Order: sequence, then C-alpha cells, then structure tokens
Amino acid sequence: MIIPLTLWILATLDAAFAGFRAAAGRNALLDKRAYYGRSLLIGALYGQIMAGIVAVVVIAIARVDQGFWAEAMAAATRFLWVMTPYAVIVVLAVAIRLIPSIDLKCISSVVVFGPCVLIRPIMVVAAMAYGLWGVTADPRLDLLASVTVLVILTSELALRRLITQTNREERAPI
Amino acid sequence: MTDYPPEISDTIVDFDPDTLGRLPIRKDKLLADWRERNVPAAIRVIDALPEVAGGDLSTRAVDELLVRCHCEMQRISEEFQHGTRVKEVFDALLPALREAGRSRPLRIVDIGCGTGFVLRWLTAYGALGDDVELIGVDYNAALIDEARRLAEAEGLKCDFRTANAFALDEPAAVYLSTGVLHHFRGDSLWQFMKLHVRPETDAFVHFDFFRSAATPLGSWLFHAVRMREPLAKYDGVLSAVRAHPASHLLSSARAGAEFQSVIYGTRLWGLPIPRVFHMLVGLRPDVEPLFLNRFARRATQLGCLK
Repeated sequence: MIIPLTLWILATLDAAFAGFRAAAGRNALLDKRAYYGRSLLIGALYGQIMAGIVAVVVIAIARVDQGFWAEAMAAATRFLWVMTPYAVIVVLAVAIRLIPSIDLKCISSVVVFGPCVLIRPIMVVAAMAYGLWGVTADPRLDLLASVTVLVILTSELALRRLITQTNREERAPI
Repeated sequence: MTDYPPEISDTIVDFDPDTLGRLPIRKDKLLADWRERNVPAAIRVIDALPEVAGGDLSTRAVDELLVRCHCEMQRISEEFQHGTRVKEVFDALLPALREAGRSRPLRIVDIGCGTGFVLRWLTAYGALGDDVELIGVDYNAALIDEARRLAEAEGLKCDFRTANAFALDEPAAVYLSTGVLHHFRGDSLWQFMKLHVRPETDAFVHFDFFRSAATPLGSWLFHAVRMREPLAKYDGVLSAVRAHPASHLLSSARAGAEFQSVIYGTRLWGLPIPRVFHMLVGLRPDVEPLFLNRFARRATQLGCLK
C-alpha cells in the first residue's frame, strides 16, 4: 500500500500548491492567511477528486484483469523514483521559508520555487514516460497515464477559475 | 550605455507634469511606435487594449490592466520579503534621525507608491513609532484609489495622494521608492536625485533591481512562472535588465552632494552571489554615523559599495 499512499500524498500536495499558485498575485490585501488557506484547501480537494477518479478506474480495471494492478504499481514505482526527490526538494524549501531570514526566504524562491515551477511540466511528463517505459505495453495504462498527466498539468488553470469565483469580493473593483 | 526600449507601462499612460491630469494616448500612434521598435510582446498588449471614440486608449482599460499588474508585482514583493527589507532600514534610520534631533513628525514619502504595498505593510507591521508619518504618492489616480481601497479594507490609516512627491506641502524627511530608479534614463536620473536636495530632507532610501550577469535569465525565469499579465512579464524582465549598475546610481546620487550615499546589497553573505534587489541610501553627514551604529551588522551581511 506504500505506493498508492505515496501517490496520494504527492497528488494532494501538488494540487494544494496548484491552488496556491492559482490564487497568488490576485489579492492585494496584506493579510492573506484565510485567502491562501482557502486556496490550498480548494486545491487539495480538487486533488482528491481527480486522484479518486483515477483510483476508481484503476481498481475497476484491476477487478477484471488482475495483471493490470501489478503493471500499474510497477509504473507508479518508477514514476515515484523521479517525482519523489522533486517533491522532497519543494517541501524542504517550504521548511526553509519558516526560518525568519530574509536572505534564506529569497534564496528558497530564486533557487527552488521558481525553477521547480518552471520544470514541473517537464518533470511530470518525464516521470510518467520513465514509469511506463519498458514496464507495460497495455494501452489502457498508457491512456490512463496520459489523462493523469493532462489533469496534473492543467490543474492550476482549472483551479484559477474556481478560486477566482470563491474570492470574488477580493478583486479590484474598477 | 545600452539604449533599452521603454517599458510598456511607461507608454500607455501620460500625465500633464503641472496638473497631473491624464493625457490621452492615441492607440494607432502608439502601435506605430512599437512596430517601429519591433517588439511583438508590446504590440500584442497594446493591440488588445480597447480604444474609445477618437482613437485614444481607453483610460479605464489601461487602469484595470495596471491595477492587475501591480497586484502581481505585490506578490513578488511579498515573496522577496520587501516589507521586512524596508523595515530593517527604517528600524535603524528613524532612531538615528531622532537621536540627531530632527523635527517631528518624521515624514516618509514613498515615491511612485503604486497600490501602496510598502506603506500599507509598514503601517500594519512596521511599528515605526507614533512620530512617523507615511505618505504614498503616485501620478496615477487609479493606483492611488486602489491603494486607499486596500488600506480601508484592512483598517489601515495610510495617506495616499495623487501628487508629485517633490511638490507636497509637507516636507519629507525621507524619500523612499521601490523599482522607480530604473525608469529615469540618461540625465533624468541625475535630475531626480538632485530633487532630494532640500533643507528638510535628511535621507533617501531607493530600492531597485540588482543587475548582474545572471539577471536576464533569472529575471525571465521568475517572471515567466510568477506573472500572468503579458505586460507584467515584459516590463518586469526589462526593469531588471535595464536597471542601473550600482556605480552609476552612486555617481548620480552624488549630484546631491549634501548626502553620503552608499549602495547596500552588493552580494549575498560575502559570497560572489548576486542579490535580486539592492538599495541606494543617502544620509546627511551628521545622520550617517548614527545610522551605521545601528545598521553596521546588517550592512556587512548585505555588502556595500561606497
């Protein structure tokens, strides 16, 4: 169960951060704790729904084809070999931002957060390609993986609309 | 010195220097200017702006765009801890001015304050003292209106005005700005610094981008991932790329020969790693030692160019 659990944790974290990014730069108030809290929560909930749909599809196919589960887990393991170090770096950078130092916070942004957001699409595609490479020739798994990549890469865009609607009162009134 | 094109935001607004009234901008002429410069990003931004009868750019649409861009810029300021950065300077400067016996209130005027992030932040978290007065000024009334709205929404008592910072009735003890210096090109930077030389003014603190070899790539990367508005992306990168070198800022600041001028933020922790921002600080000679007594440790961390 460690592989599905790790995937779920990563999906939740990634979706929550996507919610944060979708919200950032759209609210010029100073105290944005509630705003960002809501955005992280909306992102995380979005992640639960999307991860839930993928899980249901995998389980449904695995019920009729027991080999599918093993193949999916093998691909997921390889996916995690690529994505887990990336996630650990991001989480460590979040931890560094808790240190009350202007310089450390700026470095975390310049060295980690900025570049990591930029390479995130490449990382996701590369991790999924590595996950599928040589593990399976099952077109159902290929299709499922492709749809999952699409969902991950469009999450921020999907969340932007959702978060803008839930924070209507905080937009500029012009 | 390389001749950079202007920022888009500098070309879509214009003001009468005397009345600060908004001057109309003809869209077709502006587009022709940018086509001549061959900057597709700027052409797309301006092309997307609606025009009103007569062919002028819609003031409302321009203001809406600028407010959105300032909101995105505030996100960068927050990420780079700009409020804290400004506060740590004033935590040393204001006690120095008090010790030097300067008259109260100690008035800080934020030049080109935009939507007022720095002053709102200082009002909310700065704890600068009851004898400190903060005034934010900008030529753009829409940005000032937004600054007032945001301050009111959070119960902050801030004074924002559509005005020329150097023409206020109340004299400033300290002039402050963020990301303004690079807008002054050629002789206008020297002239801007000269305006600080007035009897009531004891100091200036101007923050701007630090330009290094890593700036073009770093700035592009950061704006690509952080900004959404094409104008904010284009202007943000150009701001950093065309920022004045520290030595040029210092020589211009010395136009105000009455101030001791220093650049802080030349390197990170004494290592040859460039910073994102540096600041030009000018102080009256009698204030400088009092300031340094309080700021010396941080100055060492920041690195300085005298």
